[in-house]
Amino acid sequence: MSYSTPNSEPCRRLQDVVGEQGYAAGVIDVIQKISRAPDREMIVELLHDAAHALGAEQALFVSFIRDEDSSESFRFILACNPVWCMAYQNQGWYANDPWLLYASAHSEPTSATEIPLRTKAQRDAAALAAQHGMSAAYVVPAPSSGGLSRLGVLILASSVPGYFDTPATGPLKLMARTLSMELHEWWVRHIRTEIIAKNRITPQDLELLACERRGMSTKAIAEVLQLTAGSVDNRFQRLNGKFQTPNRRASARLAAEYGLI
Amino acid sequence: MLREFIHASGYLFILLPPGLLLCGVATETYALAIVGLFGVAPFLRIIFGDAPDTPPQWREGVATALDWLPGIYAVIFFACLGSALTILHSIPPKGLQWLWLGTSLWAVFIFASCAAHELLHRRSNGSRLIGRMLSGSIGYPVLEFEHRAHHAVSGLVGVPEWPALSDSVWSFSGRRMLHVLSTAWEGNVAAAQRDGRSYFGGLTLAVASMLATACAFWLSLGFIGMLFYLLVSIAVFWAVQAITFVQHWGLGRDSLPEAEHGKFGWEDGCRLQRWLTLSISFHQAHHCDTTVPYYRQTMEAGSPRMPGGYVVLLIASLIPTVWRALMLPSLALWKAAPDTQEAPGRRLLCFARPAAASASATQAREDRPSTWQLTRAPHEADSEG
Repeated sequence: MSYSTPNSEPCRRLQDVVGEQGYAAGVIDVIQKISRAPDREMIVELLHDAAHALGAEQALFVSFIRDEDSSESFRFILACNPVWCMAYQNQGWYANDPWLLYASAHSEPTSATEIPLRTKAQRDAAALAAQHGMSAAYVVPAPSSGGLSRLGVLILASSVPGYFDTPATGPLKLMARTLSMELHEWWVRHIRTEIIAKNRITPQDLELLACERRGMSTKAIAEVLQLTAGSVDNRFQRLNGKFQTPNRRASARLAAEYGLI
Repeated sequence: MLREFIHASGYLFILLPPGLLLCGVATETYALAIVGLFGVAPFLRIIFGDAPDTPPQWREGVATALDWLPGIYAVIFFACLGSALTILHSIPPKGLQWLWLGTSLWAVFIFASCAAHELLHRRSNGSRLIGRMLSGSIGYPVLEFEHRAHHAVSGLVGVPEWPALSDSVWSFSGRRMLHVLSTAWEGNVAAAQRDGRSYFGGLTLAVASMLATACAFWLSLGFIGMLFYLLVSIAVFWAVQAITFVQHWGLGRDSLPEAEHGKFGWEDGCRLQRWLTLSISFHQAHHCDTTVPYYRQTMEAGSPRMPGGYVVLLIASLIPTVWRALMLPSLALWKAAPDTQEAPGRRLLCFARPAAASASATQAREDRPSTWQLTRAPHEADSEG
């Protein structure tokens, strides 16, 4: 969980911020820097700046795997109240967070007031956020395409109730969506690099997985990569161990889901 | 090749509990399953010993077969239960036989929860569907949602997801049963919302499976049969909480400040227990990475080691003074030297070779890149962020 403190300047009305000259240019200027950010510290700073430019007091971006059931895949970039972060993590709220649940099944940005709170745990999660200066929130999902299983969601927050419930969210929606997608793409790239390094996956391993994903037989893969069939089997056996999968088909599917191939 | 064959075929032991139940009913020796699983199996450690530090590098065919095994188990479980009920319809138990049948069913259902657990942790919808049916049929339809909540927080003793140091099995299981019942619906709604639905998150199917099983007992043994099944279900409900107590007692945030990040759980290397429980006894490793399938699981280096197997400790937990006398020294020993801890009484209770975290196990764990590196938890991100 990486974080910076929230923007502390007095809150303006969203329509005033959005109506300011150079609103879009200011946000785009920050967004453009995201793809070049070398590390997480820089991304946190950029999220902080982007939230300010968009007119929000606080912001966070969460990246996670949609159907993963034990919250191990959750990663946070936080430009918000660190006390909230601690309480949130302490209680494991991500399992019942209504904003994350919304992003799991929707792609449309929306104000948090539009998201139904169906259970006590969800109401508690929203109350905790309000208690730490997030009385109003704008939830911006970053859905995945191309078979990737990882999703993202940008949450912009304000201490003013109803701050995002205004017709002026049109430009905000466009800018926030772009920001959310850029952050999501940064995470996916970052995670890809991390997986390859930590699992010691070689370019040839990736070629093997790509061949399998295309449905090639062992013999055909061996010919393409100039290996023996036995060697191909051995390499897959090792890769399956790294991916914790039973067979090459599952490994290739997982590699595609993680954006490795 | 031989090592791989032995190791893989051992997992067929999970078919033993439903098999014993069916044999017991067919021969009117209703106590067969409870005696076999609780009376004999713990002593078989003297024959089977401890599991190796690292599993074999599975060939794809073997790994695929092992991946299918929990699903196959579910089919066999339903077939055995159905056959047993058919036989019971013709020859109903009498007098004390009800007690033996009930305890045998209870033991078989507890072991079935291990297969359900494995299936429910998988990402495939088909596996989860079978897992829900299985968990419902054993009378514990809330397994999926209770377990998700349990994994979401580590070491949290107040909720109660983790037992507190001062808890007895009775106080913890009592509080947790109420907690699980009151939050299962919330978990179901969250699961439904994750899939873009309002309320259908899987609990309905699990409850339907439980009701169908209750009806099957009614058809076989009459109304009393259904009541009997519900009684066994309550006992299973309690047993799952008691096992959670055994797995995590003394390892919560009240005992260890680092419990939130440590995801601590008592582990035990008994080979037969590993086979019978589909590696649930490698519990800290499971909490550290839930995506590792049972056949690839290894014990976590430096994890707390149980002074006995699950059955022994479950029985010990029933008497809080015995439990504390056994576990407090084990906890202290582990805290003092996590890498070399060998709990007192271990040899006596488990007939075990010294099996504390060996250097080779530690090395193996470090060498094995796993999915947790692919999917990192927030606290892991924290260390770098």
